[in-house]
Order: sequence, then structure tokens, then C-alpha cells
Amino acid sequence: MNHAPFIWGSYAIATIVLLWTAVAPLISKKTAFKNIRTFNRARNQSRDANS
Amino acid sequence: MKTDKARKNPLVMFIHKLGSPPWFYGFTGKFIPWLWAVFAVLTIWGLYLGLFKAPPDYLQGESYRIMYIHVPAAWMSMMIYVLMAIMGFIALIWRIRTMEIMAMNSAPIGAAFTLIALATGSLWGRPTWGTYWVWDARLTSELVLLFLYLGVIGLYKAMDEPRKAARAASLLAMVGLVNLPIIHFSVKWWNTLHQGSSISLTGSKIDPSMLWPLLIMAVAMKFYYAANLITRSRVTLLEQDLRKSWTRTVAEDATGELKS
Repeated sequence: MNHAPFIWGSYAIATIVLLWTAVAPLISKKTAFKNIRTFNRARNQSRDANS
Repeated sequence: MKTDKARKNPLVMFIHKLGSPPWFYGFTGKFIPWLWAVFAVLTIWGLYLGLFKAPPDYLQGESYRIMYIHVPAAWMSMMIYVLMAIMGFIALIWRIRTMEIMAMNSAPIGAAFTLIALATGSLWGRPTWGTYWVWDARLTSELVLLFLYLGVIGLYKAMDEPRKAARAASLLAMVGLVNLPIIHFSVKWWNTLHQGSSISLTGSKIDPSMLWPLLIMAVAMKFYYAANLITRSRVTLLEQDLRKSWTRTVAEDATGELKS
């Protein structure tokens, strides 16, 4: 039996899972920064409108 | 008097500081590039030795090389669960928010390692045992571990109030600890298709040329966990403290860094 597909298949699965687990929080970080900026912009605008 | 002494203790001071989200965010951020760098170096080194330098096994041939990802992933799946339960316990007793966040962010990383352990074990099982899956005690208890991780993640996400959710999920994590001795001793307690431990605290049955890459990979995965956990916990802090002034400063600094 040729073992290569099982070996490389294992490493491919591990790479995909580990890569996704590492990249997912970076995407969330981008979204979090965007939300923080949007929130602060809205707060500043409402403050300016009230003053 | 005792309180004054405790306040001056550097460890107590450090734990107190760790409880402050802005301090935690700034302090841990410095380590992330180094943790990823060490992980990358160790992984390249370990895989080079394991995949290209170590000799084939006399019985299993080349297929044993799956061990260099399967075994560290399986070890990590159990280690992360224990750490998650400990952090959950600390969070329940001392109500430290950063601990709650770290406990909850351990769950997806632990689930990822458990998934890798199960998938690579299945791929290793086909050429070795002639089957991808068998309901033996080791495999089944590892699958239960994956369900426990998914349960913790699900329970945490199911509640609107993150602190309440973290406390409930921490309790579940602690209850699930009972599965860990079952996973570890399953190969001794039952007659399983899965082989027994080749490495113990007293020694190893593996030849050093095959053992070293395994140990290097095991250490590399610990750096992966640390880097990933810190990254995730910092993001969760940003998400939870969206309305607080310190996150505005952090977001402005990040924008400045991108523009400059």
C-alpha cells in the first residue's frame, strides 16, 4: 500500500485547520477595530450635534 | 498587615495587573510575534527531522510519520482542556475577566487540535489497522472530548451576557475533566486497537532519531497555542470593551500604524 496519500493528507488537514484557527481571530480583530471606529464616530457626531 | 504584604508580593501584583484589560492587551501584545516566530522555527525544524531525516519504521514503514502531527495534536487536545478548566476554575472563584476570556478562547483551539488528532489518527489507522475508524475506547473518548469542546463553545455563544456565559461554560469545562483520565488510561483499562503509550515520564520506547522530532513538534504546538490564545483573547477584549475609552486609543494607534 502506498502510504504517501495518508501522510500528506494528514499534514494537509492539519495545515488547513491550524491556519484557519490562526487567521480567524485576525479577521475578527479587523471587524472589532471597524466597530470601535464606527461607534466612536457616531458618538462624536451626536456630541457635536448636542453642543 | 497581611493585605499590605500581599500587595507588595510581585506575583500578586502581576495577577492584579493581568486582570486589567488595557494592561493585559498592551503587555501580551509584545509577545505575539516572538511566540509565532518560535513556533515557525520549531515546526520547520521538527518537520524536517521527522519527514526527511528520521528513518522509516521497521513495522509501519513510512506511515508512522503521521505521528509527528497526530501525537502532538492529541497531547495538546488534553493539555488545553486541563488549562481551560483551571482558568475556568480561577474565573469562577476570583471573577477575573481576563481569565474567563482566556478559558473561553482556549476552547476553539482545543477543538481544532482534537479534530486534527481524530482526522490524522483516522488516516493513520487505514494503512495500519485496515480501517479509518473503530469504536474503541481511546478513539471514542477522544471524540467525546471534541463534543465537550463544542459544548463549551456552544454554551458560551448561546448566552447574551458574556460573563454569565463564561461562568456557565467554565462549569461545564470543569465537569468534562472526568473524561481526561478515561482518554489517558483507556488503552490500559480496555483492550483497544489503539496502541499503548510509547512515551512516559520514566522513559521512551521510541528510537532517539524518531523521538526528537516528535518532542520538537510537541513544544512547537505549545507556542502555537500561546500565540493563538493571546491573539484571540485580545480580540475578545476589544469586542467586549467596544464602548470603553482604552479601545478607542488602541484602534486609533492601529489606524496610525497602518497609515504611516
